[in-house]
Amino acid sequence: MLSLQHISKYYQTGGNKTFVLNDLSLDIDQGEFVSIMGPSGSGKSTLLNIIGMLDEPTSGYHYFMDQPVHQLKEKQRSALYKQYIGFVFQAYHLIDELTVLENIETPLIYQNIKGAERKALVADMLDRFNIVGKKDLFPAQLSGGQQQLVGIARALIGKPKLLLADEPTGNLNSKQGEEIMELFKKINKEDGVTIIQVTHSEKNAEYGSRIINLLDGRIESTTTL
Amino acid sequence: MFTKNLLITWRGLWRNKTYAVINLIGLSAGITACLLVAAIVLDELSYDKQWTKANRIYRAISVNNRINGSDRFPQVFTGLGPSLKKDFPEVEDYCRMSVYGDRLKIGNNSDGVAVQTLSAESSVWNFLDFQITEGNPKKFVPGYANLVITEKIKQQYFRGQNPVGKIYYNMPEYGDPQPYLVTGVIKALPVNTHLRADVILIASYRPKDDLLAKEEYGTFSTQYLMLKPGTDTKNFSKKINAWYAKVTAPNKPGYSFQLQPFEDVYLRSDFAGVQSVQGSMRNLYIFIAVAALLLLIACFNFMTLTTSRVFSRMHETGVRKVLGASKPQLMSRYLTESLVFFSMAFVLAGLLSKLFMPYLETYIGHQLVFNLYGFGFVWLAVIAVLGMSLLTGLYPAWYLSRPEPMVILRSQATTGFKLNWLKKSLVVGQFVISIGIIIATLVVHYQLSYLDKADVGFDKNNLIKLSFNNWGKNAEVFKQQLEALPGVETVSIASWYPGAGAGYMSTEINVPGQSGKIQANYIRGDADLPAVLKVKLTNGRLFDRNLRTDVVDFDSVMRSDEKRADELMHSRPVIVTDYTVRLLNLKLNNRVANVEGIPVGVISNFHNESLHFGMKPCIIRAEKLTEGYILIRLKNNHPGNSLTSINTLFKATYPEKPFLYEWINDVVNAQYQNEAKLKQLFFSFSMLIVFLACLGLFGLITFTAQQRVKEIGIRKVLGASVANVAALLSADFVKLVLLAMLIATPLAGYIMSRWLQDFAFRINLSWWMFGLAGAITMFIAVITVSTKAIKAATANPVKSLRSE
Ligand SMILES: Nc1ncnc2c1ncn2[C@@H]1O[C@H](COP(=O)(O)OP(=O)(O)OP(=O)(O)O)[C@@H](O)[C@H]1O
Ligand SMILES: [Mg+2]
Repeated sequence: MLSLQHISKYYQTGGNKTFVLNDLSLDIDQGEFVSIMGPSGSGKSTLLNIIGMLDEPTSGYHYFMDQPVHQLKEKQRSALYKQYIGFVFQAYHLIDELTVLENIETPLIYQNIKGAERKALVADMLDRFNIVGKKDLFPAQLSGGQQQLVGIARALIGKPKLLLADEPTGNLNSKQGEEIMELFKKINKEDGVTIIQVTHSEKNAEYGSRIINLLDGRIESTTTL
Repeated sequence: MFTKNLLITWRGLWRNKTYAVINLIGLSAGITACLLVAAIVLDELSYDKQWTKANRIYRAISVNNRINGSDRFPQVFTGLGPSLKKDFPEVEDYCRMSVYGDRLKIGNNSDGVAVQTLSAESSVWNFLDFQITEGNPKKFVPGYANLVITEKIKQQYFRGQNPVGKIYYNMPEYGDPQPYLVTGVIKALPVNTHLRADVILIASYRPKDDLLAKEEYGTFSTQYLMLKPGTDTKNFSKKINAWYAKVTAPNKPGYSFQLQPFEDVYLRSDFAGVQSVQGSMRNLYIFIAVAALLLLIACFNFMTLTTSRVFSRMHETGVRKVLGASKPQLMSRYLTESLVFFSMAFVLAGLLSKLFMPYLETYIGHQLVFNLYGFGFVWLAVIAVLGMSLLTGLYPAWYLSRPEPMVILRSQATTGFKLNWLKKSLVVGQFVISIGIIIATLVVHYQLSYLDKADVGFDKNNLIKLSFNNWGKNAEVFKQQLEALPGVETVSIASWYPGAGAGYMSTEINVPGQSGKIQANYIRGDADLPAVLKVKLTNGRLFDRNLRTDVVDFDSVMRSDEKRADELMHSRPVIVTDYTVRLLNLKLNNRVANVEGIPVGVISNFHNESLHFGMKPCIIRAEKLTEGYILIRLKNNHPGNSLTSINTLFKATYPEKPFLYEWINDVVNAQYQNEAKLKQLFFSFSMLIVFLACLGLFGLITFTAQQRVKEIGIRKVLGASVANVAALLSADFVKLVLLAMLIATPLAGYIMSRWLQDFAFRINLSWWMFGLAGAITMFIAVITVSTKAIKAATANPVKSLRSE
């Protein structure tokens, strides 16, 4: 589904180039559940953002669903991204001005889906995540775990093929974290959604089918479970 | 999508009440001002457009080419119209008409009813459109002046009666009452015409008035010409001037004529004192400029405030972009917000302007004809709202949808808040306008108080004037009785009073050592006039009513012996001003060819005209008068109390005449009415402008403080004092206001020195006016900024740091 070849990313600081990703290659197949680990500053988030097309590599080849992303124009890339990718953040990043229901609905609006269909889809999702009762609350009125649940519901509403999660449990306690991981596993198994998550927790990493260890912008080791 | 955006915007308003309120107040104030000014401007532009033949009617203007710089006035020889009609097929018709104040002996008031009268000849029916409701007034009934009244007058004074066919008299201030035959009733004349009147008086002219005067003197009257459709006006006026030169040869009367379009008469006439209803293009421009400035400031505010929210918006923008929003989608979200603000502001402004309309009407002195709140208003509002929200909202929308999603992904990133150049220029722009208008207000204020306090060479206080009258045989007795009243100091009968123009007559005289003639003004009264005016004698003597030479009755001498009268005229004692003495090299008690009479006294300079005008030679003559104005100098203590006793005496002596008086102080001040109105306008608008500018500043500092909560917290933990922090926050803004001062000073200085050119006597612009304006603005700005800055600085740092 996705292939990165010789991807490098560096920042020019003063006269030096600081490499964040250094000639990194990686293939991920449909249906995989990949956990990315590594020390702080090793480039995990950068890698995830490049996969999610929110950031561009300095050099390298990037294929997604058999399309050469590195050659696509901004518009095509954004269309591809809108159709196939969902994002979950450590800090949830819900929109404060919108209710739970509206937050979940927002991606559908940008995909130009009609109102009635949107309603049905959102209702399903609320149901599935057991948050129907919270649908008219604002993010500030929810606990961290509930907020992250909404974040995941929002990421899944567009039926993405690929779910990217950057430390989704980083702000949660271990019990809440476990619940989220169970959910991920279920989504991966039942819906066939490919998941790539960044995590600092060994335990959470083991929910995945493959663990990639980053160090200084290179893949140090890969463990298949 | 749109309704979604609306909903979100609405919630945002509740969440950020300060922001919403500041924006709304600013915008609605700006739009209200614009609506009010629009009402005035549309009203002013509507004058005299409603007459069906307006585009073919012209007012004839005379140009006196004999005087230096040529003098224009809106009257021509009475015979011009008839002669033109006879000789030129282009002239369809002529009408001699003008508006003046009359009094009718109707109703219960013993002084009659004051009415504005349009005095015209029969052709007026052809010129203007009237709706006749009673009678057949178009048919002129000879033998009387025909009076046509409006329905309003009929309702007010002839309730349940039929005045048509009856005779009523007028109550002239001067002369005998005239009988008027009421021949009809018409619907009210429109308010928006320079011929605004309550009644029409139709009179016929004598046949000899229809003959054209061929010398340089003759009777003048206001005249309108109606040209046939399709006449080339330019060519036609050339033709009539050529014709006039030919028919008056070999005399050279020195006049030429111009044609002023009827629709221009109201707004584009710069002749003083002849037209009772007159607007000015210049005032219109001032109005438009002030309203535009206000709207500009309001829009500036909106832009700075909205773009300042980029930081609080950054998160939302970023998240939306991650969720797949395109830039146009994001912009539409922010444009909706502008649309909401402008719509709400417009509705508010609509209500506010309705509220202020009566005050506006008092200010401009008449009712507005143009209805701002008709169906057209809705359309105007829709277009204006769309246009303004697009124009003003586009930049902030673009600016706010800029942040890339990476910004939020790098979640904790905090950047220091920087005013970008655009915001800086907007703030500077606002304060340039604020300081400019304060300078303008100060200059107008000081010039007005200079005019008020200026030594005009006479005492304008405690002086009243009774209207012009023929006081008849009782004149001398009445005068003595007045003088005997306890509150009265002195009394004079005079042909002139201060504020009634330059003098009772003027001549063009030669000045030694100067080519070209200049105008000299003559003032005439009885021997007591200089004493009543309290002019200051510097040399020689004032007039003396006990000297025979000073109380000659020229009228009766003239009737019996014209030659002797002429001789007496030339040797009569006169009083002249210092300026006249110096300009004409006069010697006391020496006859000079230039001036009729022998100067017996010199008085210090005396402003017989308003201070708009420069000094001109001024000569005061004394003679025994039985008609004229009566000037009464009242004693200092409670001058108002004497009015009743004067009124009683007046009514006892002249029971048939209306008692009409004016305070000279008021008359003199009325000469500066335009300036006083301008001051009023500037004063209220400068307050509003400064208020708006500060509102914007307040909004900006609020956001700055919000942006820098964390920085402020850290600095305080590190030991910064409240003053340190407040200074840190305010410094940027204070610099901007200083810059605005630098820009505003020369700009306002230039404009105001141009304005001061209107006055021959004026204040000098001095640095302290600019300094004062700057200080006022700076003071208000600093107060505004520091209230917020101090609040931010005193906030508990632990709280602000923990919430990060
Ligand atoms: N705009 C930038 N300029 C310079 N260096 C940058 C920039 N953005 C990121 N970096 C650097 O790239 C490196 C990788 O950052 P990244 O966020 O990918 O790390 P990470 O592995 O996600 O760390 P963490 O576990 O702390 O989230 C860091 O060393 C960071 O300093
Ligand atoms: Mg990271």
